[in-house]
Amino acid sequence: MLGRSASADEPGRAPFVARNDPPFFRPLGGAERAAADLGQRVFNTSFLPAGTSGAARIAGLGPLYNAASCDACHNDGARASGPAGDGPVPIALVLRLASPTARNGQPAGDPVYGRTLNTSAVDGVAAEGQVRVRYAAHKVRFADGATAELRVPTYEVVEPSRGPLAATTVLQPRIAPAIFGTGLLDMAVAPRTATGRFGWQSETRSVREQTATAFAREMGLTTSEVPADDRTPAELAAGAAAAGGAEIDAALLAALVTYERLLAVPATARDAGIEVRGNRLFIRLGCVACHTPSLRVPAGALGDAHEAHIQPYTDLRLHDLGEALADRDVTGHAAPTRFRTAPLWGLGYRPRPTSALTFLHDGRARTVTEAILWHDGEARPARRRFMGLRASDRALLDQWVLER
Amino acid sequence: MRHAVVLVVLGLVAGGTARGADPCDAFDWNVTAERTLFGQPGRDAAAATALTASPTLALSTLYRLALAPQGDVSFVQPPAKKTLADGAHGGLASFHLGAPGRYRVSLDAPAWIDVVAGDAIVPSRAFQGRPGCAAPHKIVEYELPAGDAVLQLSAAAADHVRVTITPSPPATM
Repeated sequence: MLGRSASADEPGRAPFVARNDPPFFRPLGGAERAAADLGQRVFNTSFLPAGTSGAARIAGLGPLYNAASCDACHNDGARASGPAGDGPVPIALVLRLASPTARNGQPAGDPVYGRTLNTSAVDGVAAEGQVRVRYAAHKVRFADGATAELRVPTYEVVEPSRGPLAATTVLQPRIAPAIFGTGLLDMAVAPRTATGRFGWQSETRSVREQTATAFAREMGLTTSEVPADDRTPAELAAGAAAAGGAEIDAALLAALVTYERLLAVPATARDAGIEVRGNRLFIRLGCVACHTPSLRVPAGALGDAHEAHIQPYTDLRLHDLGEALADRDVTGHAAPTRFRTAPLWGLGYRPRPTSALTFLHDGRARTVTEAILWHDGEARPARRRFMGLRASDRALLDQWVLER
Repeated sequence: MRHAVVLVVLGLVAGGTARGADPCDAFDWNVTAERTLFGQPGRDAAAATALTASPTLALSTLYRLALAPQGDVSFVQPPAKKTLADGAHGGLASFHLGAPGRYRVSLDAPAWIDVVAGDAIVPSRAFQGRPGCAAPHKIVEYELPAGDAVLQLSAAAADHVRVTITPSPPATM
């Protein structure tokens, strides 16, 4: 009988016992524990519009936003699920907007709507618009004759409230990734890209910057790190003035970042037979070229005096995955798109038994197989080798990936 | 491989409600019973700050529940979702189930829901929330035993919430 092993002994991992109380990857002392506890409360709290009676530290939401809390999208630190089917996209699928021209090394947004299409607003203000998706089926045939069906998405911006988006604006649907493990990635010894290490396209350099950017663009909350929300000059001219100063004070931001950086990656049970054979397949197909199994973290990162190796299965670098996965501009033209290699650790974690697992930057893939089939560009050779596998090996690799 | 396509539907420039579909129609579950209940005015009740004073809620009935400042509530168990208490409201109510099974708690606004049975918080089985919909806004489903249970509400921004507890409809084959 094949035995089962667990990844709980791997650095940075821990069993997730209480869903609403995810564990940390090392023991915490008194002050750090208090900060992490405060940070967890900040993470879970729904912020309120400025001027709400009694709101105190949690005032300042909006006026334009997508979600009122971090937890609404990154539920208990886990990755969000993509759309179940046609219709309005979940709030955790954010439509980012990018201009093809860069400013200070970062892409600018749509001239009217900024970097994020904000789908909610406080009373008296119109949301920027809504996003709907429709899927078309596309069949793919494996070498053994079996087929798989991919969902090809069509995104629809419904009723942009301030006029049309610019024709050259690139639409970037992005599902909320997992927060767990980001602190370990922040500490990993690996070449940093020119722009950063976090976000689907490495657009931010640290957990702190990623958090502050999300606060500003998706919740309308300013911090000392990012002192402006996502409203463009056009929107500011037409509506409420910009907030004066940071709406989230430095202590709350620091506590939140502390909490996020300490979250462990879920430990997984592993089938010993699948472990060896899956690993061989993963290497033979060439997946390891980008999904690097191991990264080093410096001494002290995990609370002891030794350096260690974490197993995130990412090289943290940007790669071209082909035109099919590329973002499109408003007129439908593909825009040059590179994605940071997504970590595979924790991919199979289900917050609830009923939680749906979806994959890729917009949750279009419903299985690991579908996600692999979408890989093209630099990953085309690996995908071709995968399509040549027999069904049992494809299923084995699927399961192996989910057990990372 | 066919490519993802983007369409932009141009609409009214002025602000106002979107002409898109009603967000309340976007629940993935059969929520006919809950939507019908939320179309009613509802009965007034006051959630308690201590279990001994908690009102008893009947199933399949809509209540307009008054809530207290969260700091004044003595929860049976600490809320499973830790939040900042700034401006938050909460309260306790009791209910009785004649049979075990799947039940839903539905609210018209964001708040955290705990169901306590046998002195322990029952983990939720699934949930749905629909931004822009308040009839209901959020539905959480539980597998519950027969007997008495406590509804704990916390992290509510307003001092009242509309709530109903309903049996989940049978799963369709």
